[in-house]
Amino acid sequence: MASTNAGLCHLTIRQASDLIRQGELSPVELTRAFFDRIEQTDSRLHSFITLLPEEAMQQARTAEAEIQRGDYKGRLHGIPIALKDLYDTAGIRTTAGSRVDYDRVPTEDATTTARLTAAGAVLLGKLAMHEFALGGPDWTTPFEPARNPWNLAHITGGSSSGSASAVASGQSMGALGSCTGGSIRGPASLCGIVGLKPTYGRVSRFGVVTLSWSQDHCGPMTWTVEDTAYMLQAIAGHDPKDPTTSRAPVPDYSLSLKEDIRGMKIGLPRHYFFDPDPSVSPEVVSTVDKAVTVLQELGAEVEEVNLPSLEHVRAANSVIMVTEAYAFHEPNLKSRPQDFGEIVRSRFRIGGLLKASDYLQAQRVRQWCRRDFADALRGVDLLVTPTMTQPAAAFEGYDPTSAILGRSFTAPFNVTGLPAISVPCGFTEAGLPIGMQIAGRPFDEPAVIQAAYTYQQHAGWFQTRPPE
Amino acid sequence: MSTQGEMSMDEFRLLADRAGLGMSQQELVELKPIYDMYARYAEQLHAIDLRSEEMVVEFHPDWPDRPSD
Repeated sequence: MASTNAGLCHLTIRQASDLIRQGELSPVELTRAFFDRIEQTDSRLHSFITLLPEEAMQQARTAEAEIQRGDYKGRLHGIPIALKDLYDTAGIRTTAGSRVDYDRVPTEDATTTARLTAAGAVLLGKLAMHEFALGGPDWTTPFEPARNPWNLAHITGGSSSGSASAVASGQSMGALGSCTGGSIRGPASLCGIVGLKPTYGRVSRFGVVTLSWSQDHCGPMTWTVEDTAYMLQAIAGHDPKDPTTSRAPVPDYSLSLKEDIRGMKIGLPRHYFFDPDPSVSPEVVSTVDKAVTVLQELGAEVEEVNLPSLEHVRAANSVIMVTEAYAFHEPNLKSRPQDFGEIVRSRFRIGGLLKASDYLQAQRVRQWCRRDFADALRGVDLLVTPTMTQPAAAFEGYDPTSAILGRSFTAPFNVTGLPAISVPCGFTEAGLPIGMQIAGRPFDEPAVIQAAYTYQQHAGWFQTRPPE
Repeated sequence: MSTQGEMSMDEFRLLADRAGLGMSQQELVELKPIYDMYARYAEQLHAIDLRSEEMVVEFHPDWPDRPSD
């Protein structure tokens, strides 16, 4: 896959935006380089559902003209990005990875889409995903599952599968994913990139296809923590079209890009995330343990915390997810069930079979979880855990029901709505990435970003790219 | 405490019919093990003594200073 353009595609958003602002890199040249790279690689990676070469090149030309006349909009101006294919794009097909929405063309942009466009980003295309943001790779849907750039025989994780594979392979400088139980941090971890699930209410969900109203989150996926901060800056903030968004002021996230975690208090819930369990890989845990040691060496104070509600978080997340999903999809599930893939059809149907009292009890458990985590976060600034229980599984022999059982390290932060990031922290012996999860207090994305940035700059894993 | 537990195939068919899902016998057979997993999750949740716990979730921008939170 050697190409003169690969170098441009391996720039970070920060590096590229510096060059663009200084007039040393043309957004048109950069965008063309990404389409060349996509053409060279996507027949193997299957990251994209829809490519938008004409629209993107026009956006790049517009950005170039604006910058040349001194109208520079900021870090995303002229930067090629892509969207998980459940973000509405006016006039552009948005499939949610399903035959059900195969021909759906929204008439209005999602708020996040509009904000990225307003920031001057260039939209390369719409990315592969697990159908309706649930399940796993499913060959009964119309779209080929995305492949893991570190090993094409392995899954990317999901549901933001194409977002992870595109960013990891240098097909896009950044992407948006969405997350209901771990769909940003999971694939970020398995593909060796950074993924941030912001606080519930920090980023608008308007125009994003619903899986679970009360647990869906939108967030960025990038190669570095720094780039995640820039993307979050562009999309965060109150949206009158999404009543669940907060009016809390949006801080300047670039101020968190400093290498300093001295005195930060980090809580480790060892009893759930680190202690031996049949569903958890010891290799993952030992790698994250080493990363925690690095955080200590950098000046963080680490202590164990106990969160009794954790044992029930997975159950609450799962019950809420399928019941809300059923409520959203019920008409189509009854009128055209054949248009759903096998995995999602069965999961959604479960939501129609559970009782109202099951859902309500799950929401009550959720409130307990929220208080439990709030209590812990009075004594510490951050919680640090492995992001995933296992490294990326192979496609061969993959059992989608395995994703329902066992522990989930990401779901606790969807249930509680707390901000959480996954940052690469090493590799398995087989060369598959491992991620560390850092979570914080509500709306304290600055602390989460600062800790992740400090670790990433020190550890330097971002210097290793997937094999060409 | 829920009494869902693992239900018989006949009970499961009745439940699915009542929900109006219109599934074939083969679909029912394939769905039942997955339903049982979720039913166990529901039972687990009902087994927790939550006392007067409510079901709302909200955050305040000035958290954690609010004494009521």
